[in-house]
Amino acid sequence: MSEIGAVLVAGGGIGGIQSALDMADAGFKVYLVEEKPAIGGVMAQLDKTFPTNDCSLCILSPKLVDVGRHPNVELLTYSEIEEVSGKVGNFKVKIKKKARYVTDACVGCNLCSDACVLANRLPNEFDEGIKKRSAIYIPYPQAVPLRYVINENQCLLLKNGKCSQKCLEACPSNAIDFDMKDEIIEVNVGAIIMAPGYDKFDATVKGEYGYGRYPNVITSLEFERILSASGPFDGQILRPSDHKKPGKIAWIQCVGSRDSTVGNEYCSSVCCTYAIKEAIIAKEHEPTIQPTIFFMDMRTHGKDFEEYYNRAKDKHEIRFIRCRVPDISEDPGSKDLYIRFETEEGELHTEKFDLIVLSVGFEPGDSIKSLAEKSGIQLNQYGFSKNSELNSLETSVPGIYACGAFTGPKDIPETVMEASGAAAKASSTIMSQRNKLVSSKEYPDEIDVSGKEPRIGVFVCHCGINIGAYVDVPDVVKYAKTLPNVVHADENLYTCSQDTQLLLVDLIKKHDLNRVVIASCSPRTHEPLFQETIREAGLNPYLFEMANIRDQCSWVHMEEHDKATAKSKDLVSMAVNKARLIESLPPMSMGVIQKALIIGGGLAGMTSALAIAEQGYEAYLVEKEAELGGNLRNLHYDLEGHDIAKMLDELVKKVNASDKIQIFTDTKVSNIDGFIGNFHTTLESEKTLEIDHGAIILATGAQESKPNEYLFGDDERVVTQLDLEARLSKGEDLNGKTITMIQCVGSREEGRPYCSRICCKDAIKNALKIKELNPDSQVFILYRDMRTYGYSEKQYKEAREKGVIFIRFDVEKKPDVKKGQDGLEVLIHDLILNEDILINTDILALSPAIVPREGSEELAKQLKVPLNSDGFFLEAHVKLRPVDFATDGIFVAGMAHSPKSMGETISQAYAASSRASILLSKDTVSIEPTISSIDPELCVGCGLCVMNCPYNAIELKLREGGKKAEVISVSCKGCGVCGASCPHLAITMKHFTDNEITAQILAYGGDYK
Amino acid sequence: MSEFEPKILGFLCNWCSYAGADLAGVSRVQYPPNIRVIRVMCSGRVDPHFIFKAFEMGIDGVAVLGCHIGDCHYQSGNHQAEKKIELTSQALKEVGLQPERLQLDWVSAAEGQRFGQLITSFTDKIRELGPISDIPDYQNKAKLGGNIVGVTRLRWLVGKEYEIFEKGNVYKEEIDQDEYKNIMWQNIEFEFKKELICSALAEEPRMVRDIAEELALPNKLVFDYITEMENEGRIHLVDFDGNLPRYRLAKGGEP
Repeated sequence: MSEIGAVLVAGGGIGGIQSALDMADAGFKVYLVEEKPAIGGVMAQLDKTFPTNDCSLCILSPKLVDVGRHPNVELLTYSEIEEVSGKVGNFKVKIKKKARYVTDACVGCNLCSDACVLANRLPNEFDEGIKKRSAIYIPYPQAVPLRYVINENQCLLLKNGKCSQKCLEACPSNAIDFDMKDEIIEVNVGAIIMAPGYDKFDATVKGEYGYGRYPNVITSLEFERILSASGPFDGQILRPSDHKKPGKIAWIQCVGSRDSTVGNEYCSSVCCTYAIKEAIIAKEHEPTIQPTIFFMDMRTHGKDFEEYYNRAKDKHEIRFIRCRVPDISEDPGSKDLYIRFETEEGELHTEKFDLIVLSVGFEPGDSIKSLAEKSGIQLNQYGFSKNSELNSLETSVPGIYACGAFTGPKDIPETVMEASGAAAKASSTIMSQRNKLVSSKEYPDEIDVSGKEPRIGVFVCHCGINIGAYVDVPDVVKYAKTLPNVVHADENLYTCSQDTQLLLVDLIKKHDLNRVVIASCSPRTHEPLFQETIREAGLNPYLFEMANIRDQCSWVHMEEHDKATAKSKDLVSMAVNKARLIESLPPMSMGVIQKALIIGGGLAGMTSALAIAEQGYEAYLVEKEAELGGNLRNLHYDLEGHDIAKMLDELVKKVNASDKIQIFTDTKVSNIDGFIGNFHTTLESEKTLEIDHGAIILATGAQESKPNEYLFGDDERVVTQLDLEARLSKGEDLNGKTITMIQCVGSREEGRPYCSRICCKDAIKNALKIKELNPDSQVFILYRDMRTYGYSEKQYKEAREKGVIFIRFDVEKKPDVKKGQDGLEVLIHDLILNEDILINTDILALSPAIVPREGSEELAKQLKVPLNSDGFFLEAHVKLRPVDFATDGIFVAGMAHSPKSMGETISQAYAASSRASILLSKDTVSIEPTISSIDPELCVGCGLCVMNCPYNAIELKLREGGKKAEVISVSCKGCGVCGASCPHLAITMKHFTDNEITAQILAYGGDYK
Repeated sequence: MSEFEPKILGFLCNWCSYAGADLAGVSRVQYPPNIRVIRVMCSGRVDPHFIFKAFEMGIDGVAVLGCHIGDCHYQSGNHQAEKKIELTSQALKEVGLQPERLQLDWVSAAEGQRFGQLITSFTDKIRELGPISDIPDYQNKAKLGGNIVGVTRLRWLVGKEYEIFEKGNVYKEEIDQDEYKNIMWQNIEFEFKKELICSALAEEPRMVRDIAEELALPNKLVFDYITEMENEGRIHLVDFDGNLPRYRLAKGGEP
């Protein structure tokens, strides 16, 4: 029997959502199973996300909406997996759909919840129990699906058989059904993706911190809810005991992480950066708050995290104290808290805090255990899925894939990457069944609005408090109602939430709106969502305008309420005045060349090429060196003991053997033209070659920098970690020798502020290798923070146990290296002993910064994609689009994106291939109809536009009345340069016409013509 | 009296400067709330007549922000913007509006902080310059400026400048860029004079001598312009006062 073209995704957090969307977009049927009544997971609970402080729900909400209304996704919420049988290609999964006691007639009005006799008496899980709810409830206002649920263990009628049943009375749509029963369904799928997420560490286990006994000791997730505008205190920071504003708040790191006393040896990887985030946001809410973070090693190893840490110290004046806090005590009267701590210099202090936040780590949840039992997946010693670092996407059961915290602690972008990566794996398993079980989305016919008087609806968003706290939203609405052609204006708490989207469709129909203006966040992030919504209401997506009153108003004028309100009004009036003129633009599409170009033949590039091939598409793999392999050629083993040379050899063999991959070594990309679906690239080697392809994966990697300190280059005993690794792999005898390593050489300092992420692990790897091969050797590692995040904390511990000596230094007091009598002399100031230590070393191994690959700038220009300030390629969105570029059809994988480990590179390569395959799986791709058009009556055929157009998208044609310029629609990118130049004003740039832009100017000037 | 709060208009390109402005928001960079933004796909979309329209509407300062040179999402759009803003500045100077009220600059998608700084300093600068309405007859001046930048010949010259100096003309001639600019600036001057003559004719038919006296220009020059505009169809001969011809504005009166 052939495979089934469907996939089951277990878990509806951000990982599961991303996997589901990738699979659904690539033409597979998806069952998204979530235990809770709504999808969203932990990310929905977060207030903001690091390091950009994006509002978490704002960026998640569009995804919730997308997955909620995707025609290929069947959402099974409040459902549990009962049994998994069958095998890869054809699994049968029994799912228990728990009785919600509310039918899909529910309109989400909340009247039942208000009426419930237990209203405001039961702890709301979404708010970590701080806020209360009824027995009939939705987890959070933006929940998808927006359908209430009755908790049968709490509902008095269901539990005791006795209740006045006021909810029944209150429900306007008769949606409550107490006779509903659990239902078992069976689905047939070809692959399964496990994305159940994690549980937070139970802080009551650490009795010394008093969590559960002291009301003002809370967890970091509770603090997230307190920060949230829709949280228990409406975004005010209050402490639980007396609802007073706290002055001093402390964060205690590593609660339930790096702690073998509770069985969790691993580092939870994300807590350092989230604590910094919470401290920054807290100070933003209430500048008088004094945050202190107690930590052991500051692990801000992610892209742009170190800069975030620096800003926290320098700009936000957040205090960092390096100390593992032994315990917390409480003054029983005031409920104030006291922390005893020892500074690095050895001084003992006791300090009072008003509120203490425990940075709780990750633990494998019950769902991980239960899913593993039902599907036969092996778990590791900590209870997460047992995966090799180099293969975090596949579980021990063929056909079952994994993403996110199922395999260990991860942050959001890593989870999203793995989610796409797991989708790539799953799609390749069932590739033959693509598009077999799905249908394309149907829209209502477009309403013809041409010639009709504009009827504009204006919707002003509060965005929780993001706008509402800094702009008088009701006043803006009132003002909008006075504007010409505005027939409806209203405010929304979150315009992007699914319920509001449904409401918009209703209101468009009810008021016969033919233009929609939304005043909220940025069109760069949210315009597509809103355009989709109005399309569902029968309006052409271009009958839409946005006023950016958040990113460019409320967030940047936080202290100027009245002026921000006045500005919002102007922005709304400008949008409305433009909206009066905008017109429907018919959709356009064009064919896709179903091949990918992969630039870079290292680990990321080869893995991407194989993944593209596994999904059934052809790939061109271009490497500028004579051989494939990239940095892999310099690596020999990893922390888990894999033979990297062997792995490289196998990978190259596989790539060579694939009939879908065409390899070009010794080849450079000299020119790239075209756009999504239709790129045209010139390759240069001995001869010039031209290729056509639909997608590009950029995998050019990064490189080790050459240190310019510590006598590197002056003394041959000073080497880099890569040099050392090469020597160790040859079995050089180091018995009796002293080897000293210095970390952060050229990283985390002025001029190159970022952390190179993998050097700590590499140092440990080499230190362990030295100890293994040469028991009689001495190894020193001089470090600033040991960043052995995740499971590698275990090897850090092992290195200490094996006698590797770790000495910390500050960037202001770097070690001093001199040529001595019997070797190199390394002088370091030991902070704990507060004295200088002299190490006579035979080898000094430096851990140099990883820097962007030479030529990245040139490539960025060719591709027209941006680099970040450190010179690495900048993705479309650091949280939710970690492998996409803002320019469609171009993706990034591996160290070109930022320094990362081999395992992370492999996952990202699969992710990029998943994103590219979605595109390659389509016959056509729709193109923006916002292009220019030329009025032949006015055109005199002067040819200026032909000359100006950077895309050769305009040509002169001989027509009646002479030569006329004509636009080649598919080539036009819509920049509008031709429109701004035409000497005879014959060119109209659609959606940005002269009249429309002038209307915006006039509105700002107070003139509505 | 409360402090003068200038009205600032920003034209931001979608890919770099608008993204930079969004990043300023995400990073909570605070800057003065005087600016209103019009999003365009490319700074090269900004037609000079938009800028004069803004000044005519009493907007005190206009900032055009694009991608850094070399980073344009559309390859050369920001070069085009540079040429157009240069022309617009010259025309502002000519009509007697302060060119400092117009600023072109570059902000990348990663420069939220820089966006905030630019807007802060530009707002301060305009605050110092004072309201545009303090300039006598500013609306009329802006209208004239708008007409000047709408003249076919000037649009052609400015539209071609980047290409000519980047790629050379079809005859492979060496053209001196300063000389090219001089030709443009002269044209602006001529067009301005012509606009003034048109304004002088706005009310009633007049003779060359009267116009020349009012505009303090030589009779000969005014006569030459009038002849040229007669050829362009912008001015008609009405009648003779004695043997001196009187002219009036043709319908529309614009080029």
